[in-house]
Amino acid sequence: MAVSGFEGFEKRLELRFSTTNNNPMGLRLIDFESLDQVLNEVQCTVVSAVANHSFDAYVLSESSLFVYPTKIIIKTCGTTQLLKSIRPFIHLARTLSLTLRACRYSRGSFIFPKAQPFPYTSFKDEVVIVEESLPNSLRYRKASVMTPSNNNNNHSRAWHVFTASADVAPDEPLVVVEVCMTELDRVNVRSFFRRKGDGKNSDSAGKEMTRLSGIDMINANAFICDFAFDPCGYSMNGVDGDRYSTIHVTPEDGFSYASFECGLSLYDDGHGDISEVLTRAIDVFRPDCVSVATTYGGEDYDHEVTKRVERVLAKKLGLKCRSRLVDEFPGSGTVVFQSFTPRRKYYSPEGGEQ
Amino acid sequence: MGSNVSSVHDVPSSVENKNGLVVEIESRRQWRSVFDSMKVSNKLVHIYKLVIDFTAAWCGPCKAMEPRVKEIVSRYPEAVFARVDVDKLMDVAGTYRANTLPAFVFMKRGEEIDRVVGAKPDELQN
Repeated sequence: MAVSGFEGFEKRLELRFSTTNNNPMGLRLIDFESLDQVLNEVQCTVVSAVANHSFDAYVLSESSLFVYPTKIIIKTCGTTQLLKSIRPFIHLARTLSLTLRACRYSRGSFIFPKAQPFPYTSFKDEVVIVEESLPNSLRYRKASVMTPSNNNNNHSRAWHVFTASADVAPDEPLVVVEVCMTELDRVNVRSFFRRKGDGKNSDSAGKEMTRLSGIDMINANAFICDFAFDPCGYSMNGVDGDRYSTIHVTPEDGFSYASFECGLSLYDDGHGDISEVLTRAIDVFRPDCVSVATTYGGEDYDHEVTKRVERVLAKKLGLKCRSRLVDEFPGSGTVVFQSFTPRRKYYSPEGGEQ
Repeated sequence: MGSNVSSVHDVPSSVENKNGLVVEIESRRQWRSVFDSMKVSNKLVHIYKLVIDFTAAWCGPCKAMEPRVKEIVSRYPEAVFARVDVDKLMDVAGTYRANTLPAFVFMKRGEEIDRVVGAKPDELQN
């Protein structure tokens, strides 16, 4: 591991609103100048964007922003001040007669925790800041640090979740899958470095990376809005009907990181089932360390799905599940957190391989 | 001869303006005259290069792109930029499969030669 470098691990914020008016566009009516101002507070900007009938998708200098009629998802990496966006978003929504009814803040464990500014130096401090920004109407609150209890310190990254909700019953129809990958395969990761003198701009270089890496095959139906950073790094938002997906890559050796996130339905309705989607996404990077956090918002949690994901990843990618944790969040549903490392390469504390 | 002259009058005069403006297409009739002006080899008005800018009132990403579009328009005075609201002219949007916005369709002599989808200022320039 490098001593210092770019922090790939993202902070993720999801805000869900209910409408007291009948405008089907909801939050999408927030004018772009106002959105830009909020992003300024967070210390990031829009580098590429696309919209369809269901939602707006923005690729940011540090990750992504999705705006649905009653939901905002914002995910930022590096040393951004994500939590500063909560109050402005709530205010902007209120001007459109939209009331906040649920909030979820989640993140993995930073590769360089000491490089983070306050309050991101401790999850307890982050939770205090989030709570201060939320209205009292969000009565049902829970903070949890899901820590794998295996022996391997190098690979036991915890998953942090804070949820707050006005109702006990979860209502999000889609399942959200958040995949964090480190120690990416050095050959696979070469696609995400820009070739010197390629004569391309960021967008056509991004398109090339999407194609070369095989990211375009994860969901062949999706329209991909991609962006290549200089001298390396890659981001994309996928748009497929009302389904979003997003990938961010920090390819540098010593702190390589890639994330994959998508919202999907458990029922294979032509979009590919969760195990297949995960396999294709993880296969692009062939990481030595993967964690998968799945949030079953409104669906009745089915343990069979969790076991199937483990079976498929083991069979197709040789990834062994080292730990599995399950927790319930009022208003947000069940969260399952799984950690995987390749079967042939499990480092024991003594340094030997198993 | 007479009908050609009247179709010329239907095209907004901004088309002849050398400074390159974005023409807002308000009606199907207006769209038809712009489209036909590409095909008819007419010495008075012939739109050789047309860029169709598909947008919508609800499209945040379209607005994110707007300042850059204005900048690019002023740099290419020989092309006509026609802005089409996909909700107002649904069939035109359908013909050009403009489901993901913003979408810029490049037409030369009435044929589509390229398109750029998404707010990507750099790619639009090329």
